[in-house]
Amino acid sequence: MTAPAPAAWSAQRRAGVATNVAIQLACLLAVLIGLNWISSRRYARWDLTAQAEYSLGDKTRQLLGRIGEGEAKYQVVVFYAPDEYGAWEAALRKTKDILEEYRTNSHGRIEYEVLSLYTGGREAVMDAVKRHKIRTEQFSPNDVLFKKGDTERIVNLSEFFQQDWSSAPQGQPPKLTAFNGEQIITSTLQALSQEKPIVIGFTAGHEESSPAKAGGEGYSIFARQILEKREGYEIRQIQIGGPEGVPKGVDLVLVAGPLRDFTESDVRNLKLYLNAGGRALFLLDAYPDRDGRKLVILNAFLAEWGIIAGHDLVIADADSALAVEIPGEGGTSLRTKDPTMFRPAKYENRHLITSKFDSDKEIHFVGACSVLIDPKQAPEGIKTTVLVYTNADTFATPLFPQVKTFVAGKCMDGPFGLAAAAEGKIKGNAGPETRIVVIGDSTALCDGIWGMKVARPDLVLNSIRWLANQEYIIGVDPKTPEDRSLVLTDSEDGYVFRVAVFFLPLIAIAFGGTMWLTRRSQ
Amino acid sequence: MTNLPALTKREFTAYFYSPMAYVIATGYLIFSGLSFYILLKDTRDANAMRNLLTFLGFIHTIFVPMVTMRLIAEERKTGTLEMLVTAPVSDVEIAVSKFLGALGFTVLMIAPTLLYTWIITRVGGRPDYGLVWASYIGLVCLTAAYISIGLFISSTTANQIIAAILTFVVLFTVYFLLGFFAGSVRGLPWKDTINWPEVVTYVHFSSHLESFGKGLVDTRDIVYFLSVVGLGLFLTVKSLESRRWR
Repeated sequence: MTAPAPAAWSAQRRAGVATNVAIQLACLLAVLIGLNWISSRRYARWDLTAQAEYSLGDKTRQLLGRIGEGEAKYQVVVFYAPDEYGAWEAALRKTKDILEEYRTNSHGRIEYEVLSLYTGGREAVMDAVKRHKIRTEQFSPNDVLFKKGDTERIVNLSEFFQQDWSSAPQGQPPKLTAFNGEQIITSTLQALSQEKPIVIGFTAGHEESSPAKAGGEGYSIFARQILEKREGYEIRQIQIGGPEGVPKGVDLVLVAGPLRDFTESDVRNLKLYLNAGGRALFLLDAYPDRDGRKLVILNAFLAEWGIIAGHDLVIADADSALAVEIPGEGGTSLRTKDPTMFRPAKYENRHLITSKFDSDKEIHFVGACSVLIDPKQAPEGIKTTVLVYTNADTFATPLFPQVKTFVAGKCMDGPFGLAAAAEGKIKGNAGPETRIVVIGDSTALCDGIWGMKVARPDLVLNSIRWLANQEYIIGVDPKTPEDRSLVLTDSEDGYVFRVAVFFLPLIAIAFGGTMWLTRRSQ
Repeated sequence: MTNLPALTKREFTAYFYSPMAYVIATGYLIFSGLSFYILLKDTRDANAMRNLLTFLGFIHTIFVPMVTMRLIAEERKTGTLEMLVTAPVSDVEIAVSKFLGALGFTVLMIAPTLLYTWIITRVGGRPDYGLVWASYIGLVCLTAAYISIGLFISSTTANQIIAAILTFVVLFTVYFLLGFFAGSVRGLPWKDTINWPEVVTYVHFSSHLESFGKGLVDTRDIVYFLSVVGLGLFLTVKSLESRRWR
């Protein structure tokens, strides 16, 4: 007896089942789209790389944790301009990766977009210009705009990284040797987030480098573009010798390369300010006075805090000295090493200001003087630390500018200090602790040096951040990509080819052959 | 689902009795070996695995269809599918076991490429192992998505060649071609409410492989690939069910 044949499905019934399947599919699609939508908003990323290349530091996470729900969103727009060598590509990739981490860790409070100026399409760029109300005339290629409400900051991508062109093969992009993006992005976001800017008072009246003066010895680039525009500080020029002393509202005093000595009333007012927990940064030079006079009163004042600024010029050895181009006749130029322009040899990692610096850190000193410490001279409660050292082959001469060679008995042998810090509370100070930083160089940040593209503001910036209680920004580590380059010799090249292209496929063939023979014999 | 382990074992072991599987595995290893060799020479970087992942993603668009083409199409053609569906197993079990069997075989096919890392260390390189692991997690996720698509296409036809070609076209489009269209879909309907370029970029397989290639494991990418797997398996089950009412 055979089973009865199933009744044929009517067209109506088939249509009903098809509709049912279509509804199921639509439901599943809705669930999957919903799931993906939720996961795109609530997600986690695990960085498995050996150096945690894509992870943000604790300090940055702390800052992002403080960004409140009620605040306006932070917008970051990168105006990327590709170059023919692809030199910016690696930096842009890293910047995008790290911005993605900022977006993740801020739960979408920080948003970013990257616009490629030449390849991204005019429509997309114009759309972004309109959306962010960007004034195009204020932009340069590779600028990064940070915006919160109507407040904005602009940083150039070139500040995010260091490259090594010397080891780049012909026609290949240079290698990225350091990536500083996290520190710059965090400090810029911090600048946007603070309601009241920190006020830096640049002293005037002693022929200091002025933040208002552009070019040469002026400080306009560092003060306006870096401190004001990028870092969000408010810059004021102040007189401290008057009866008012250091004006109220000034959070830290900056003395930038004075050429005239301070007066007794200047140092008296400064002392009153510092005794009450004030903050001051002194950038001094080897050539303090055009008339040959020395900064006697100022240096004596600093000595009272245990910091000894030398009346000398630091002369570096050939290894530390920087090569500079000297213009010659007929448009020619000569590349030579200037022993008064050099890189320090060592940084004090136990002090926060220099805690993240290693000996390869690119910081340049130009026409510097020595800065030592004498803890015995410091008031009770004040601790002094040397921050930066020269190497053993460097010396400091008091006989400049006439003699720039080593004279035994007159010159100081290296290693010695180039910058120092003093901190603590003196007796009777019920306020915050006093902090002082003295760096034996102001020239390295003047406009002329920025023009030569050798200005490196990290030491001064970290000093300002420390003086302004912005320690969390200093705590952000710069990332140094590990060198994993691999150049194969001819024999290694042959080995790789043999194993990868012949040996491994042979395993599959041998395994298959064995299986075939085994089955055949059964 | 009690029959699932036995069915999966049957599907997995079936590959080892077919000479075609060894041909596919050998071809795959030759192509991936050549890609690895060229990339290592070109990038001079011990982290060549970073770029190799992109290449392997492309190579898989060719080799995965060869693995999946026979899954259901062959059974349909030889009539063994009818035997299978009359057995006391559900369509879900059939689809999932075939998927897991193919995934197991493909993972085994990929496994020898892990030795590339060993080759790099033998010639003095220092690969970043975290990056290597993340890359392979990504590759397995991508392969699972590929297989689920291939399985569904195989269930729609009795012709293996058509199944392979269709699968290749779909995978090539989703992995490669979509990237080119992302910029040109701005003018689609509802453009004010839906950011079409973003949607197309999201659907694009390559965009979900990017993080893995950097050494990052991102739940968004995993959820996406699992969604594709889920959709592929659902469609396969519905395709198997349809023989009863079509």
